[in-house]
Amino acid sequence: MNMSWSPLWLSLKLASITTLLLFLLSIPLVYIIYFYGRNTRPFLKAIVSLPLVLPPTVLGYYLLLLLRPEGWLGQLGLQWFNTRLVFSFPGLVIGSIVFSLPFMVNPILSALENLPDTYREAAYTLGKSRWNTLIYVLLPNIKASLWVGAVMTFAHTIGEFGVILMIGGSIPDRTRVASIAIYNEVEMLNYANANGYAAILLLFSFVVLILVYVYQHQRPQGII
Amino acid sequence: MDITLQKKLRGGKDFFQLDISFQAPAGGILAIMGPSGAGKTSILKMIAGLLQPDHGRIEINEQRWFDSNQRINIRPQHRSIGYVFQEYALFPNMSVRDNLQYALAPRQSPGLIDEVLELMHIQNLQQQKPIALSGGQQQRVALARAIVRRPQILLLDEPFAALDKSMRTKLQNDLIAIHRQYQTTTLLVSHDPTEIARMADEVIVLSNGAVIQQGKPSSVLASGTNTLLEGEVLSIDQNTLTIVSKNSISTLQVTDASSQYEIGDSISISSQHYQIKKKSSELKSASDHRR
Repeated sequence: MNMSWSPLWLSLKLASITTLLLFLLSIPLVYIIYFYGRNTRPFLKAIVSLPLVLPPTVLGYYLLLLLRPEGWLGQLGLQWFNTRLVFSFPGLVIGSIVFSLPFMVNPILSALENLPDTYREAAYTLGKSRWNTLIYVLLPNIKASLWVGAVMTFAHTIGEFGVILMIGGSIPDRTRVASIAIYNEVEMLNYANANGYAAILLLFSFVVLILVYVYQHQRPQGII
Repeated sequence: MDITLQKKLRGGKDFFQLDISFQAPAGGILAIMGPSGAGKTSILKMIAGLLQPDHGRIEINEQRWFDSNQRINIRPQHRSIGYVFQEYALFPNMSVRDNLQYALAPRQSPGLIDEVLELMHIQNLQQQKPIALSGGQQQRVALARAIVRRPQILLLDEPFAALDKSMRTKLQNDLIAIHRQYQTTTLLVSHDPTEIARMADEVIVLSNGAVIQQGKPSSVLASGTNTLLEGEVLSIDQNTLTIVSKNSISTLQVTDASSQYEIGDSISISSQHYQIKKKSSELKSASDHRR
């Protein structure tokens, strides 16, 4: 067995960067949906949750259209960063952010909606803006859900396959992440290598889920 | 304080029209009483800017906070209010001191926190998180947080309803002391005639979305239209009705009770008469009986 560690390392790097960027992105997104989406909330939620139900190939196909050099994002990448987005690591990050969006945003949003309205109202009567209320009052009281969102995003990105195949292909050391590597090894009948990657991913996913549930078990969501 | 409010509100399944107008004595305590679902909390929320009236005007110390004709609607953040919520709404992630610190406006001195902590007798609790406090302690913190900003008006939504009697009396005394010190115009929503008699300078009584009485507590409470007990019929035994209300079970002697009432009827009793409403509206709508 001559298994390369590069796909595992690439998966880890992709998941870490995706989780960090998506976390930073989801806060303003949640702000908009929670405070301004009074009438449009079902519509916005449906958009956020689309990646949950779409076949990864459909999502991958549209991302491909966007990211290719003639696409809207692809041109932006070429002009501003001189980077080709399709079949490249930055492209994978963009794809993963879109694909994992509901895994980060939904837990945060539903935790916010479950908080008593009076927290928000009390902060308003104390002269605090919406943004201030979100950062200092609401988010600190849903820390558990922030963690769950981050961990699920991370794990989900590690397990991503279809979207990556569509927009990243399987370029060694650049876009061949662990899940793709398994597919590759099986195609070449290297079952020993495939077995190695598969076992590591299985173990990883199981440990992540145990951590999430242990955390939820110790800190029930309903603090108040 | 000059308030005129109109708003369609939801009471159970139905909507009703709240249409009220009242003045509150500057620097005094005005109590608002009325049956539950009469829109008392909504009035406080409209004054705080958390709920928008359909029509009306809210004027506090010659500042107009809301005027539907002139399209004025100051945001809650810019209205000078201290609001004590029924369920306290202390922030669980902050200690008692941090709750007060958060409430303070940027230009206010941190010395105010210690002053208010002392006034409410909660200096020893300042490092505790709200979850570690008893109901009475949480109520003190909620009051402290509301007054630390030195608001122009204080809105209290049944602040003592969840407390036992001795704790209630203590807190009422503290609130009287605070009021003596700061002279903040206060609106107090309350069910409790004793509380209103002790604390309020004036009282308004709401019924079906309108103010039916306004005056000194002594005269209003004595007039006998205020509600003493509200609840649901739990069981009927010939001449005895057992009624379960918010915190207690009461029994009443009523002549021929079993033929007049059914289990599940909602009942409200005032000092002069009692009213009974059937569960489903297609039966009797409402009828008055002399006791």
